[in-house]
Amino acid sequence: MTPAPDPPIEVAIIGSGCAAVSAAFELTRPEQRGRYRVTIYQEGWRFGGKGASGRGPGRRIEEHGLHIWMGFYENAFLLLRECLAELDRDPTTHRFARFEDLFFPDPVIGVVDRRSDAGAANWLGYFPPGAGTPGDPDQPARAFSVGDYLVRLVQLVQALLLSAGRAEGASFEQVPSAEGASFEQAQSASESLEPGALLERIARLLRYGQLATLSSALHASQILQIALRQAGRIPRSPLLGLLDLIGRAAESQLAALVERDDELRRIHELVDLILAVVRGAVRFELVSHPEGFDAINDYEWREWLRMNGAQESSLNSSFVLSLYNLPFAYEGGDPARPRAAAGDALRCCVRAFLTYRGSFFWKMRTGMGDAVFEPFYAVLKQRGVHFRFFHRLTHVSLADPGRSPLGEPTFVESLDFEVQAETRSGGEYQPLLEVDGVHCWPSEPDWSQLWDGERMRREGRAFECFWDRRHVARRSIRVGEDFDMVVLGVGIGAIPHVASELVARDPRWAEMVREVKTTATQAFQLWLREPAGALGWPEAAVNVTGIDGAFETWADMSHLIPEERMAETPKSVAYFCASLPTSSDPPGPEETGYPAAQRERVRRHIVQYLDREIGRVWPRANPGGEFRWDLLIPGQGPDGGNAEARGALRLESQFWTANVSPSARYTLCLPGSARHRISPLDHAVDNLTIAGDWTACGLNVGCVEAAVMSGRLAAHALSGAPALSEITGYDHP
Amino acid sequence: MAEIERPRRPVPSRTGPIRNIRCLATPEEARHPSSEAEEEARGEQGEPGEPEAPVGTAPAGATLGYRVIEDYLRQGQESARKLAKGLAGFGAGGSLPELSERLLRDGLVWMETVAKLWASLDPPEGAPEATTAGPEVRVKLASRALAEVQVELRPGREGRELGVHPLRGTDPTAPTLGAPAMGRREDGGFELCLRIPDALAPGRYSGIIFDRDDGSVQGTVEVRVDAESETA
Repeated sequence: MTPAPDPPIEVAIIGSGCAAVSAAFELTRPEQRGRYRVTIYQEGWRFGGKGASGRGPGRRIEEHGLHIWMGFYENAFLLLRECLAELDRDPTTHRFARFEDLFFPDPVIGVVDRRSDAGAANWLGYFPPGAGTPGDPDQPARAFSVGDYLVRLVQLVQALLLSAGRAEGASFEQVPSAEGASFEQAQSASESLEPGALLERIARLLRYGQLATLSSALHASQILQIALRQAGRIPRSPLLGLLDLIGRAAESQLAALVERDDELRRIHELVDLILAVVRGAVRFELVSHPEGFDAINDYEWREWLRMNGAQESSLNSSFVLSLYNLPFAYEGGDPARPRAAAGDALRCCVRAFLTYRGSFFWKMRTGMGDAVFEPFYAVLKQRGVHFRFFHRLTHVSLADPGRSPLGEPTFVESLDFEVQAETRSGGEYQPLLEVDGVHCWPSEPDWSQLWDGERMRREGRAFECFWDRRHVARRSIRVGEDFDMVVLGVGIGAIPHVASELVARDPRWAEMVREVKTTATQAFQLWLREPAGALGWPEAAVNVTGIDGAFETWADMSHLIPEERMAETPKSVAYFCASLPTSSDPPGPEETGYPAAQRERVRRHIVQYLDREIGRVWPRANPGGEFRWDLLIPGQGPDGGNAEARGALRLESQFWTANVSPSARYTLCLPGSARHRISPLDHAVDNLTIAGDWTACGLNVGCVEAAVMSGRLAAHALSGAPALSEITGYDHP
Repeated sequence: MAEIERPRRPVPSRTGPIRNIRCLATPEEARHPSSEAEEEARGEQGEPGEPEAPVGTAPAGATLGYRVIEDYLRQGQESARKLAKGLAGFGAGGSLPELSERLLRDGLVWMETVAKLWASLDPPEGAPEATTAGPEVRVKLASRALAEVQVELRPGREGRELGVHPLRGTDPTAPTLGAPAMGRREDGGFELCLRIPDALAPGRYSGIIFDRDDGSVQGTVEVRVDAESETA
């Protein structure tokens, strides 16, 4: 690498979640020729933020929540694949050297659905493979246009119809393809018709008012297609009438059957929702609106669908509710208050359902920390990035306004940290442990590296807990001496605590922290002595949402078993997650008992859920209304719980978390809130940019992709690279 | 107190995503405006920068498609209302398995039909290539507040009489910025005159550029007004 001609620009990056790491990756690319020298400051002992994971007892994987990537995460996959390529690990000696070693496609989503007889049924939606793989550098042209999305909506419904037609017990591969269906058989002499003759045929069909047979519908469709190829020579009105005729035929058949057949009811609900989306896109002029989908962001998602004709049954369908469940879109974590901004929900839906590549979901073969953050850590280290673990940011100090030349924005003058621990060697903390030749993040710090580490361990120092303020020193770094520029990559919940000056000085920042809400989340993991099938789950391993009770989402993660090293090998591994009802504003640092109280709340939720609700998906796991606690594999070592524990006490040997720290809370996009977000490109503070899924990053939804986009934007803000046009999906309706 | 010597951030060419009609137009060009030029700039100068994005135009087929869908939906609302009322229509008879099979088959055909219909909306062979260079628009701006103006204008508008709708903020209850004046210059380009009132709330304001003859949409104007004044 050719060194940069000028002294490098020192960049302090605060945080090490997806956004912060993406910014670091972009700023230290070889193409930057060493122009930016990056130091990452992180509280605690590991990378990852809300995507962190660690190896616990028996090297089991313990996650912050359920992490499944989606097939439209183009930016996230691109950067990770570039990272892996740069590391160039040998696949014969490193089991996670390549992208395909780390991720595998998962095309099925399950939804627990209310049956027409008031019972519950499992509905599996299968998404056929999309062309390519997310992050492919040679991706084909992507038309992020409303019109293109309308086309793909129709194609999606085709796929769902195929899914619905799946015979019980048949594999997805046995489902007949839509290609070669009878449409082609409907070829007629119309192909050669002149416009006049074609119009006459259309008029004749319209006179019927209804297509009485399948063959007439096919014939009408064929005529319609041919007529549209002669666009400009055939008046619009009869074409539209013909379209309406065909649509009406299909809908009237649906209406005749939905009350008697659950599969058809679900298809009907989807068709109804799709029609509402398209109708709304036209009514609200989203096709050409300067604000794109933002134009409807003041509406609540279901409210907007309702005003565009969606029926109540569709709006309350399990499918729609799953759109709220997966992104925890419940204000205050309250299941009674599902709320999402319509524009961002629509944008996320069309990206998720219509632009995925390879597979709808992609699952990791190991923990997210090990699959994603370990490679990034390794490549950043290789590039010369410095890491300051155990550094908790406490204050961002701005320069007095008079210090900047007239008309120039202010700048960050210093950053204050609490140093939570120091290494015995005085050098950088080495954060990884090795599991059979692969580096992994541990669930606890390596106490032996720390001064007074053993005492800290005994005291139970919780370095990632906002309410544990114990530290061994304070440190202040200053502009011009220690840094030139700052990437603030903490969670939005932490902003009022660490950037109070900014919030006080700039009303936009005050509005942002007031309006961009977060929710606490709860999650738990079980290591079981029986596979899901033996517990009564009738299908293959899937991700299921819509379950009643405190945890609406379950994912079978048994594929992780080979990667763990537990003394007793589990037969299955199950992850559950949900939002956690709490106040939108967590208490201040003086409420030291808050995290333990929330953790205990989550424990009670789990016990109640397993006793009473788990039967919805595992009917043989709670016979008689009590969970079979002996299904849980007991303690895996000194920290893994009591191996002799019986009953609900056995839960102590499993893993659960209450994500209540301000920075650990999940970002929501409530109606009317998106316009209060500030972009990483914002220039109000000259040497500061922000990074996180809470910023105005183009995709205002709490997810990995939004965070990575934000990190790339932050890098662009400081360096001009990557070009905005290279950030896939940033420029989007 | 002395000013600190420190590197400055580059001034961003824009601070928000493009969400307007240009995204719909020639997406590949809009999203990858001049990759080679960027690469060149990156390689030679080490100063990767944001290139100026071109202006595109919606393909004729797509435009027609939008109109078709719009009108279709308007007419289709009637059938949707009937469906909502539970009208059974034809096909109500027969056994459930038979009806299910038929529905699935017919539904597939219907969806396939519409999908193929859309696919058929490509511009016809031999259609002239869309040009991407729009006429020049000079902006005259009077503002105490820091403001960023972005004008997107379709190509081929030279010599037309254009107008601009009042620029609206994202808050529907907030006052509009008013309609800027759009005049023609002697060289065929346009001149947009915009005055931002001192009392205007910070935020983003946008409006449509339209053809005064036929009312068709010809582009967009977007103004971002910052909270801090230029001389603060």
